[in-house]
Amino acid sequence: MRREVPIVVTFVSGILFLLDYFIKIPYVSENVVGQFLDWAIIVAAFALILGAANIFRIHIYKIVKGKKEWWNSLILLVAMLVMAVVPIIWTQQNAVYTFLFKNIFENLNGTMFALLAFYIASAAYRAFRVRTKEAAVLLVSAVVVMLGATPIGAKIWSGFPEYSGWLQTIFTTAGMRGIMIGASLGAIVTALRTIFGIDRSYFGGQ
Amino acid sequence: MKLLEILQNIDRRIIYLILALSIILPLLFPIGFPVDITQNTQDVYDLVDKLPAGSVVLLSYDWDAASAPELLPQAEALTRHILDKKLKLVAIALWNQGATFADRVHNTVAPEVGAVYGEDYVNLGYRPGQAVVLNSLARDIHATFPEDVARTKTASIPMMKDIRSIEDIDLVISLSAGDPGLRTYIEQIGAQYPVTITGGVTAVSVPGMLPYLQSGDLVGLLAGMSGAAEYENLIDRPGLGLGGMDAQSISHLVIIAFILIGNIAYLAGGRKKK
Repeated sequence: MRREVPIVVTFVSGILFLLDYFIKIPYVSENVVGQFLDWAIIVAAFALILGAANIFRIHIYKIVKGKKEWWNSLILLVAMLVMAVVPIIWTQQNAVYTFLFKNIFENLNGTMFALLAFYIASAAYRAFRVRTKEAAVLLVSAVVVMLGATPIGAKIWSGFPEYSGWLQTIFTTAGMRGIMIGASLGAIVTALRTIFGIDRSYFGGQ
Repeated sequence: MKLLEILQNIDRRIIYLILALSIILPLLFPIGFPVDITQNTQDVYDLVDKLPAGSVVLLSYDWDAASAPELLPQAEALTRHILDKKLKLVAIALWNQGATFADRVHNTVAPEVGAVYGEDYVNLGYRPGQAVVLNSLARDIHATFPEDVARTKTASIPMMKDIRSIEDIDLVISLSAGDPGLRTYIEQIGAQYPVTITGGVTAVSVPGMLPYLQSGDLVGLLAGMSGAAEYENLIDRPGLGLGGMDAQSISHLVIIAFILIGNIAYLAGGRKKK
């Protein structure tokens, strides 16, 4: 039963969603598929709680056992509790939550992402050398696209935005389309394997 | 030859410092490069501008704080245009931080244009579930979002009484930093329901959206901070987007300069050094 029940549930829900995507039968779509969707949102919400509980379990263990740099775990748990509990009790429009979000969380999150610009600048300078003809093509394309995306590019040469657009709409789009079609075919195969019980990796290693 | 070696191995701290200055100085002392309007931004503007008053726009905040410099200006410019045109705005979020940004945008823009919460705009908040949320929302918005962010019952919000499913939405806009986001809307809403979808993405996400633009699944696209700046130009309200374009221009130029210096030194040095 531990194997059969999940396979049957997966098959029924998978086929229902698949059919409903292409053919809308009003009663089935509203009552049956709609009900499944409600359940899926509830399951997703519980998955969030499960994730949070797992973080708590791991970091409480680190604190209790006095593991190396345990105070980082304590800071994480306190921050997590405050940012979760305050909006749960007093809504996200609460002044404390808004203040913490705007003045601490947002800046920390933004800073982490902004650091990428510095790493990319340094990495591009070191790695972007015209060692081959292909690298030269890549370099010229990168310069045209970068300058074409900013107002200063058009000031330097009016052709930058035009050729930047040409490179993106012709070459980039063709490449992206190929990647997307390949990924979509892979997703279809994976979905069918899961629906028909061939791929059972979602059982969790059984 | 020593100079060529130095130019090929500039200390990363010098690069960081010059890049930081190239961002900070234009923010402190704006240059004001003129921003030209691209067709994709014009298309987004036209979609919003041609909607008759009272039409309903769904604006989805599908991003986090890391993408705020690019997408917050887009959200402000779009919200200003939507509320100024007397359209009804329904804000939701597929990313958990999105709903907080929606509140901030509303608090900034609504007083300027005299919009009233619950009558002109509403923030229904975040729901987990990604693509499932969109499928559910298309069928029944009230069941998917039973309360707004202030925990008011959706059914009791005046403007939501007649907005119950995707059939009551005239335009879908997703401001997206990844998945779930604009692509999810195209796949889950655009493929199943006859509603126009447009949006804005971070600059790095633009190549991934171009095939959808060419196929017509997506109409118009705001591309990163430059998209926001162009939109601000179109609505004649300079904001965060235009303010950041000088910094973006100069920093791009600095990165290109470093790449070119490294290559010139590399080629002049007989390609011996790494």
